[in-house]
Amino acid sequence: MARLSRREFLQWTTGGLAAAALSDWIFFKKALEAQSEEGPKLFYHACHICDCTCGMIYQVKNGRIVEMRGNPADKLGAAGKLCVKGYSTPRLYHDPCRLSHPLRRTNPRKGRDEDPAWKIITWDEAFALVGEQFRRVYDRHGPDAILLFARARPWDSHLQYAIGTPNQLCHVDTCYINHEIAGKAVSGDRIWGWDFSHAKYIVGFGYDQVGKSKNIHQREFMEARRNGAKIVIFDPRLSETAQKADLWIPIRPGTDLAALLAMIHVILNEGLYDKDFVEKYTVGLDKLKPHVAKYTPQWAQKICDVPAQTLVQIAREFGSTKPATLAYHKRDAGGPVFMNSFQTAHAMVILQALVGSLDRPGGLYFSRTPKVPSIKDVYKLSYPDIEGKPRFDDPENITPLAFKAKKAGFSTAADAILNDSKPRVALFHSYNTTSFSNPQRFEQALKKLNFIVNVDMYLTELGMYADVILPENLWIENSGFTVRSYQAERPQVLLDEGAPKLRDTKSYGEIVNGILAAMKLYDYAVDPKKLTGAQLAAMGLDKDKLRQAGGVFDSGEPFKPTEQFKTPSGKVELYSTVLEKAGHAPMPEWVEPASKPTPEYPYYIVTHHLPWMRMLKNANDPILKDLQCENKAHIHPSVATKLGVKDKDFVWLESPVGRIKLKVAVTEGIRPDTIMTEHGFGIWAKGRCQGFGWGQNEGEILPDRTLAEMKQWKRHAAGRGVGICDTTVRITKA
Amino acid sequence: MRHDGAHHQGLRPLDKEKAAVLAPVLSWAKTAARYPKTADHMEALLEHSEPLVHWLPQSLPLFQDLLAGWIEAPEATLEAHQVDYTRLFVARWGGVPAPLYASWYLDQETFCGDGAEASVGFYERWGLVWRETTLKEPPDHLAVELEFLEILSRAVSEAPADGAQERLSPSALWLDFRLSHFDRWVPRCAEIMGRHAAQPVYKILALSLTQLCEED
Repeated sequence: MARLSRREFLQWTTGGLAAAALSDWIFFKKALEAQSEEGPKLFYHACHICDCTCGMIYQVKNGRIVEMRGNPADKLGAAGKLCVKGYSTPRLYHDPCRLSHPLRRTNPRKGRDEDPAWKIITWDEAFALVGEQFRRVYDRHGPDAILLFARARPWDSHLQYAIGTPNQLCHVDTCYINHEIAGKAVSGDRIWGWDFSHAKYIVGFGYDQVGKSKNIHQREFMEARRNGAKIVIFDPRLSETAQKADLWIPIRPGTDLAALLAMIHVILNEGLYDKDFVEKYTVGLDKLKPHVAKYTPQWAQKICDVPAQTLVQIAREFGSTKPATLAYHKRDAGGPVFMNSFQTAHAMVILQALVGSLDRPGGLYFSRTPKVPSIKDVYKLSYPDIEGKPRFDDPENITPLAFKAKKAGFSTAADAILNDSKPRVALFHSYNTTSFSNPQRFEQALKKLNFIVNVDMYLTELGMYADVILPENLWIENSGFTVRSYQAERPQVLLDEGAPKLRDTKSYGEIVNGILAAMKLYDYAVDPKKLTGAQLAAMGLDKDKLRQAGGVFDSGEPFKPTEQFKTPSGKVELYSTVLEKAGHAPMPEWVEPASKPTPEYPYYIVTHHLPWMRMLKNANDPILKDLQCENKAHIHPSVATKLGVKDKDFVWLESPVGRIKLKVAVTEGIRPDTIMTEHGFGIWAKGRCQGFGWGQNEGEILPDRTLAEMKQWKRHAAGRGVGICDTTVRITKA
Repeated sequence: MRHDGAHHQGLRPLDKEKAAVLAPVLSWAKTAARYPKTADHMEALLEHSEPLVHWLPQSLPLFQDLLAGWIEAPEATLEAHQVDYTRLFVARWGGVPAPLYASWYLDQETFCGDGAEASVGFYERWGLVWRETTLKEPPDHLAVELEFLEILSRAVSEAPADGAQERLSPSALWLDFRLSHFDRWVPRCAEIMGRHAAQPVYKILALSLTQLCEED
């Protein structure tokens, strides 16, 4: 471009332009008013860093959170204390790397090495852009061309139903889906409470919620420890939970199912089951007993590398000590860690029922939650019918229960998109590529999507593939209420009083309704602010009442054990008619995991979630990052000797999916045939300034699944679980 | 932390003459430190560039480039500045090099940290209530602090020569704000901005901030 002379420049700037004024005072009131010091204000909120939803109390002074603590009125959750993640909330609130404005991509090329060249746009522009793109696809290719990667939370579901797409994809098939599907199929409900503090005997299979610092689990577990309960943990590695157990059994990865079947065999064979409970509240014992006859401890010993006598002893103690309970939750052996994990989860519910501690004190129980009117009820909406509409990733309806629960989709997402012929657009709500195993393949799939909207608090790896980014409030900036679902032995409601909003962000309710209005789906674009009041009123509550009660409404109702289970028979179904009808195995049966060590890949791989990390939400916290700034390859000393490596040397871990380079940590606390590494590292997007560049994403060596594989696993993988550790690896010195 | 004006390290008090020169410069810089949302914003930066060019002659070639680009392709020039602003200060693949908040530089890279509280304290000393309107940014954002300096400089330059003494001298407050706060983070921000800026407006802004902090 030609440069103007000084004279020409001044001529232009003093007369050549339309009169454009510099701004008047923008940021200050013109009146010289003295402002009185704003004193601290006290607020209540439920923590949403994880699903424990612990009650918290915090103070705000001059727009800053100056103090935070656990709410003692939340007796079922926080009980006055928060976990390390909850206490990190003020740092998240003040994190400079949080997204502050809607962004639009100006570089159409996508990839890890492509700068999206973002520019700020207004919310109106953002909604218009998303509305135009989504509406065009909606009109030309139908509502099902819109993919929603989101949980099944109220506003997520409102968006899905209003659009009328069956294609909602959720991450829980990489997390705990098997427990939910097995629990609902066998006992009619989700098992979401853990009364360890009253248990006398606790057995876990890969259970490490203590190591994950789940507030409720930690408290219950340590109470059980103090009360003298005997605790047995099966785990290939000496987890934090196993370190606090009476007995650590380093079981072979992927074989927990065999140990569980053997325990069921012993308890039935020796008549140790709770006869009163089984006779009164279960059906199917006549079918179960012969079914497990072949699963002897001697049979199991060969598979799971645990002495038969040990299995017999634990089964006898478990069957004869009251109350006895299993400990299970997310990402344990029954979570979708292996392809046979659904059978493992199924066996867990059966065993829990056999010892009579299903929804009973000292055992595991269902949530008691108040009835809350839905968005549909409050706004009197009528959604398009999507029942029975085929999903793009399950056209043959292989796993109907998983999708009915609205908890699946990640395990086969990449395969479904890459083998799809329809043009599609997608919205991702608080999901990242690091939530996927084999993210390399998923990133290829992302490039195939025509338009991507990313709703998040941070510029993440997924954001690097997005066309528009919509910044969401941090949860503590949202107002409303939270119904306790974890550990809800009685109905409880927590008040959510939002902190002052620091950025140009919006609540997800505002975002959803902005998109719906921009899509011209006006019947569904509602005012989200009306929801809270209407829902609270339906429960006989309001914000003032909650505030006066210390931020928590606690019904105080005594725990009433379930008499009538929500199954077709009204009883716990040891032979599940629900699973049978859906085409899955009606009783748990042994099936090998998908992968076994080979000469090329001779080691099992297992993973661990650090106590200060929750789905990378805290990845940008400088203090938490300093607790452990990178993940390592934890190996047995015999492996270290074989490789000629010592602590902190680098090694390559390689699987059929990919390879990562990690430092070594040598430990006796792991099987010699197994390698462990931690999740929550390997940030490359650099949108999070603190977490960038530390460690490696272990997902890059873990497998996703194809639609064809899922079909093969129809009988045994009712939860559509990804089997995230169901692969094997080799290790070499780097 | 407050500094006694008598013990400052070389920073001169603000006199009427200097204040008169700086007020329009600060006004320009304040506008440049905001996101260039519209064509009007860019035109305002061009139209009011003369005081800055006189004060900082080395900015002229950059303004000449800016105007040439603007005449040739205003939309492309606007979008290039929008993208550059976003990648420099807001969101960028590769990390944001020069966030525009004091807290980032003074409080271990936090947002709305002690730096923001310090800013609000200074504003209150001049009887100003900081208000969040269109910027949707915290009180220690560069644009806000530049406006505060502009207000002080206008108070100095427009004060009657023999008028009654203000309860608080704007010149003293200017000195305190600069020494205790502004000059502790802006030079670093300007240096990084200057290194990474691709578009003329942000190169000029970096130059002018550096000049402001160095000329004393």
